[in-house]
Amino acid sequence: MGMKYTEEDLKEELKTKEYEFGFTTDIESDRAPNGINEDIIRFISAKKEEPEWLLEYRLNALKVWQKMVEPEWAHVTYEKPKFQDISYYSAPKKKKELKSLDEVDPEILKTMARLGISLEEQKKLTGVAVDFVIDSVSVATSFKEKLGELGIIFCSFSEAVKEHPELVQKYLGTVVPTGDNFYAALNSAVFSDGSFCYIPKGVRCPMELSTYFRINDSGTGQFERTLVIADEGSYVSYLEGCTAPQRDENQLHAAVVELIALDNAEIKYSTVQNWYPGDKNGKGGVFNFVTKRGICYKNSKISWTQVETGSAITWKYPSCILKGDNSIGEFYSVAVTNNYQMADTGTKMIHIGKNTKSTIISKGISAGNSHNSYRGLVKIGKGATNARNFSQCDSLLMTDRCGAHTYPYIECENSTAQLEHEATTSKIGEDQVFYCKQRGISEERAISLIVNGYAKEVLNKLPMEFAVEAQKLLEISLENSVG
Amino acid sequence: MTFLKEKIFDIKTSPIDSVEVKNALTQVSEREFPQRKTEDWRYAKLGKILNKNYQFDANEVKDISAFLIPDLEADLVVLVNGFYNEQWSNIKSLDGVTILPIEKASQLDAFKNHFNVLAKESQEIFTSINTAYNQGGVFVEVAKNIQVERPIFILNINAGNGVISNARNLIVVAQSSELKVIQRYVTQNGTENFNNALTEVFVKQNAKVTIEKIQDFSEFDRQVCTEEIHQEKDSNFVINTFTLSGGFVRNGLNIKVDGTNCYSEMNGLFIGKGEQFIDNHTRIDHLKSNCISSELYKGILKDSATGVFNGKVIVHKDAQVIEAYQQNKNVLLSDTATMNTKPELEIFADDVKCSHGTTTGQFDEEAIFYLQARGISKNAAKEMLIGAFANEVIEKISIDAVKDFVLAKLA
Repeated sequence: MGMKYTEEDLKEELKTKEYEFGFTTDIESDRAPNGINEDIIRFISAKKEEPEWLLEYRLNALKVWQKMVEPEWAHVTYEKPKFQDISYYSAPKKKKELKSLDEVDPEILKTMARLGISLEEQKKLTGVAVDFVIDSVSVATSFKEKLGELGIIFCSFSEAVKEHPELVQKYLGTVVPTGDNFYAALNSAVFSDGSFCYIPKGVRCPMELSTYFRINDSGTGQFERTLVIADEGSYVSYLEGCTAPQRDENQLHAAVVELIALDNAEIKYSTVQNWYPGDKNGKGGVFNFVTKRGICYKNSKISWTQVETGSAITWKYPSCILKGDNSIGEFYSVAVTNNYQMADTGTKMIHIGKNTKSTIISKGISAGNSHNSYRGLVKIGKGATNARNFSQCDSLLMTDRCGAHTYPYIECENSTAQLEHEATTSKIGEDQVFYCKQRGISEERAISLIVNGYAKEVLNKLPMEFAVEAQKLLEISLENSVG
Repeated sequence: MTFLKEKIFDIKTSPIDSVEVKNALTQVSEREFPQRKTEDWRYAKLGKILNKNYQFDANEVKDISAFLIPDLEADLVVLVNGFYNEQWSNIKSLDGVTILPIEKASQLDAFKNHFNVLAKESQEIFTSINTAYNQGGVFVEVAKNIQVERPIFILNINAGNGVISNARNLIVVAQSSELKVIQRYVTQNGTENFNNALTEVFVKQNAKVTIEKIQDFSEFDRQVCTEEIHQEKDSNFVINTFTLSGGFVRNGLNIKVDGTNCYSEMNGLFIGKGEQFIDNHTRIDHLKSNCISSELYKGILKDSATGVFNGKVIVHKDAQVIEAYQQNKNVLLSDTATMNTKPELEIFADDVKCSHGTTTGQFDEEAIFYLQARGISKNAAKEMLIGAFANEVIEKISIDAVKDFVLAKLA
């Protein structure tokens, strides 16, 4: 983070072959009894001292969810979560309002230090404000004042509900409606906390806003809710990254992220996801069922960049609704699966406005016995005159036991649209590896070199701090993976 | 009389005495028609087709001259509403080549060993209906080491109003033999006919089979047309599909490449006008190593036509050193036309080179301008570009007479 990352560091890194962020923080937590029903929803809402409208929103979502069936179309197989065996609320014990870092639980500070993101360092050395989330409840926020001067709101979701209810009420569920899909409905009913961000008109957010998520309490589902609103003419770059402790029990994560880019605004949303992927035999690991979607108004732009290396099961399609004329949607993704991981990920670009443009670059890397699928939709509506899309979905195969799949849907209802889609699937080039080895580069290094080159197009889109971390992640994820 | 939607078929079942027919009857009763949520049928509006009280009718055809292909030297098999028509069929007997109505062939070993072997793997209800209720079709067998010079022309005629037909063909080409087949689908008169034809093809070791398929039913007719192909090692299979007309057309082409060192090629050109719906589904399963497959489908959509392309390339585990290429290019010529494309790759082996590409758009304005600058009217320039666009597929036709015929059809 911010510091130079050298070859020597990488060498050190490579010595620790196992998943390095696999540890558990011991924090006493408030826990809801297992199961989901109206009472649980009321419990969560009461616990968070929510207004009546939000309780209604949750109860309605519960009703919708109860009528829905868990989707099975994705190219993943897993044991379905037992929704009644999950606790839908857990939070670190709330002591009192925190004034300084000294008041933060030392356990949490220790966790942060091991993750390499100590708050003091963040504050002093980098321009990154960190909203650190442990088990759904935000416990520490920094740089808030500095952002406050510009009128930028960056806080936990619960805080936003209390401090800025009008904004939350106006935008919540407008991009991902309650009944959108099974997991979005579940999230709408039980979301615990998350992040909220509002950039006022014409403001360019001076720093990358960053949130670290962390699943902590054993047997707890995570239901984050993120809402980012970029008002007219504003700009924000938002980072989201997550690590999770190592354990056997499958963990469910069903987050919802909504982005709203009003006229002339731009949102850049970057994710590095490295949750616990399960062990070498496919035991354990996080289930990541996320709904991410943004809406673009006139002349605005939303750019999704993701590096996905973790989770046992990933089911994630960050999408853009290009509603306004001249709006732009982008999706850059690197998804790596190893061992028995399964990822079904991609994007949807819905062109509604005139002169809308979208770009999709997806790079899948499959190793071990894993399965990696790209699933995407490009839809050009009747009114989307002069819409333009370019999609490229490449897959790299590392072993003869893994699978790579592409399912692009392209639906066009306007004759002026120009759509291009191309996809390739191939093995890592033997001649490339040979070339490197000839020049004294070990096979392992050669492969990481090639993979990084392959993913470069996407990694380049990440903010600096993230790009370094992402590059490290790719290498760790693919260690000993060539078969 | 037959109600498709309620699956009340009081028509007689297939004349083929086989357990396959009985199994298919059970399947018909058990299977559901595709719903809007059925993934493989998501763009097809089947309501109109299913909610129709179809007749079942042999019918007569008084003159077929309008349906022939000029200058084509071929053995002629005429199927009217799915019945083998002795009157118009014209076959020169050739040593080693068997061409028979299926009901007459049904006791031959070659027939029994191959009939429904591929189709029974299908989960489609339309396939089960064809197996259970076909009233005819043609069986073609080519013995070993014969290069059949004369192509076989299978002419399918819809004749009547609201007639359902289930032509069933079986083609077996033995080791190191070659055969070319032309399949044409036409409407004599009438409207709202439903043609549910199915052809199984076995391409044995080192054999070569080419199919030229031309669909020009009337704009009021419906068709679900299925080809099930099986390739053995060292074999070569090519199919070119031209969908020039028809109200609702659904093509299902499935190729199983079950041998090493095979070559498979699928090309298609579809032109949609008016309210037409044209749906091309192709699937190629690479089961063995060292094979090449190539696919090129092009669509031109005018008026309020809807086109669908769904190509699946599946490279199975242990099928190494596969090259599979797939391309789909579409042109929309009207703002009310729609194109839905879904090229899929499913790869379970690592030593592969697979790619697919698809484009949807309109003709290059600059190309049109270039032609206009040379005194060619805008419309003529567009026609010229359409011709060039279509020509890439038409060029693939292996029989000159058929090529000329398709070109003339497009002019």
